[in-house]
Amino acid sequence: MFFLDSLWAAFELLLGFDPELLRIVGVSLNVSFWSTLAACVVGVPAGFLIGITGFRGKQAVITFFNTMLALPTVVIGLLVYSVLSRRGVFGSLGWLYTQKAMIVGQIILITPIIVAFTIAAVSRIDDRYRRTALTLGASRRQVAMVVLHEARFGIMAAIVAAFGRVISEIGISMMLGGNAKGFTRTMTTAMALEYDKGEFVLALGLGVVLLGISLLVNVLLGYVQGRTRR
Amino acid sequence: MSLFELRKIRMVYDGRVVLDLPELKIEPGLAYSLQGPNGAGKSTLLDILSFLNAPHEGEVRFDGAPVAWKESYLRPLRRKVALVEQHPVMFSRSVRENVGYGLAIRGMDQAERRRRVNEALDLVGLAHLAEAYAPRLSGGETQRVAIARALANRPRVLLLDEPTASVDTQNRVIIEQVVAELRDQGETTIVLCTHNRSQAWALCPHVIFLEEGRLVPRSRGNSYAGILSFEEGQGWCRIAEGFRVPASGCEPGRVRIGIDPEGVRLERADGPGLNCGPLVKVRLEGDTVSLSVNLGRPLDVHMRLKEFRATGLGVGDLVRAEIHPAAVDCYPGQ
Repeated sequence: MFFLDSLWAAFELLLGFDPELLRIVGVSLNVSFWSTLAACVVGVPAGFLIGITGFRGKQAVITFFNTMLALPTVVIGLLVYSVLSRRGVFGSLGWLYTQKAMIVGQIILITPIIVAFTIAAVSRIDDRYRRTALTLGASRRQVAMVVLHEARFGIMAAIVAAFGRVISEIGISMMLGGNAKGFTRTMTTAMALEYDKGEFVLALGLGVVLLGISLLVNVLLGYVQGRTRR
Repeated sequence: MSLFELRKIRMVYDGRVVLDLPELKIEPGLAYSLQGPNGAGKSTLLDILSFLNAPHEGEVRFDGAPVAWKESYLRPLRRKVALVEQHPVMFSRSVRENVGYGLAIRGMDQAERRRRVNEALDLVGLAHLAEAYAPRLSGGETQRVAIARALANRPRVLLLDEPTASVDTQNRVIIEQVVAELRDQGETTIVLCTHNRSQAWALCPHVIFLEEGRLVPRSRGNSYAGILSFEEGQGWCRIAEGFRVPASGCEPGRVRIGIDPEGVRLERADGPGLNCGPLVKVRLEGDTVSLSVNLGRPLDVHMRLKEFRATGLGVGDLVRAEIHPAAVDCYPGQ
């Protein structure tokens, strides 16, 4: 009953567009969007190049990125903290406990995800696509575009997975953002705080939003895939 | 001037020679069938002819000029040669976009591209599927669209790697018609890789026969491994149980035997005997009939329609193959 009551109250918060809840969701989406975008800009081309080209040490590079997938958020938090703290190399920037610090940490967290998944998506593409494009007179760049086009859903899935990872992570947000109300409080850090306080209503409301965002992103991905494949 | 001239070509993988061609010339406008058993080096040769793979040794000349295996040099050459693979892939786009891909990357304007795509699709009888999603096509349709995609670019050379190996009869007939039309126009050089000897014979007047990476000099017809022995001065090659042909010119032991399908006469047999077996296939190719007899190994026979009618034979009849010694070529075995 307690759970259902809390859940009902959470829906009331959502439907009433509670300002605090909206602010927290806004911070989460803002930080996650920019970190995912930045990680895409770096990770997709890197993963694509690693996947499509053959070079000495390729397997070692792939193993490195696969290993980085298991990097704990607290380790990233500590690492970035040591760099951005007052005594750190980039301490003068004053980014610690700001959304910028959270974005930096999250980029480190999800870039390996995007790289590794993009490599996997590109590597899965049948070599006959490359051969076919070549025999039809394509240049290297045009062949690469064919492979990219065929791997697009795999790459999109990589981006969705990365976004899902950052929006639901807590370690980096807590350590580098500091959970400052209205500035760096995200859905996950707020949920942890509310739990500590024994206040489940906002925590549940945020949980529903978190699930809703995840559902929405996946539905959008499915819709795009469906439309493209007709 | 030959279109392709290959000299001292060798391809070696893991120490195994998969292609060893002292010389091979392909003349412009002619149709060649590329035949040979699995692993004979046919696909390796097609990869060289389509400029996808450089030979490990030797020289390739195209239009009289030596081919430099550099990316910048190869691209213009690849635009003159089209390869249709045995299992072609369709880009995940519409049929129209697939067929027009080569034209689009050549920078052709949309109106001209549309016209050429329609023309190519008409040729393979798939104009009605122009807007369909290409990866959803059936195997036969995919093969035909792949041929249209290659032909839309008007290549000087069309390389077909077993285009009918995995398609149904209806699609096979259409593909064969397309190849026959191209052959008759004489503007496109065709290299048709096939295991179907009667198809090769019907479509391509010229034959490239590969055996363990080497050119077999026999230009056309049946090819077997056999054991040559001599009885009272006469050489006989045993190909299978009950299948033996007169042969000479080689040392006793393992040999390769070529039998010209036009040097074989068939007559009705009363019962089992040497070179006797059922007639398993009869196929009309213009005014000629292509037949296949099961002698433990398939023996292809060609005869004029009039001559075939006179025999009164039909599928399932037991026949005896009378093989003229002049129709038999014998080569040392590997």
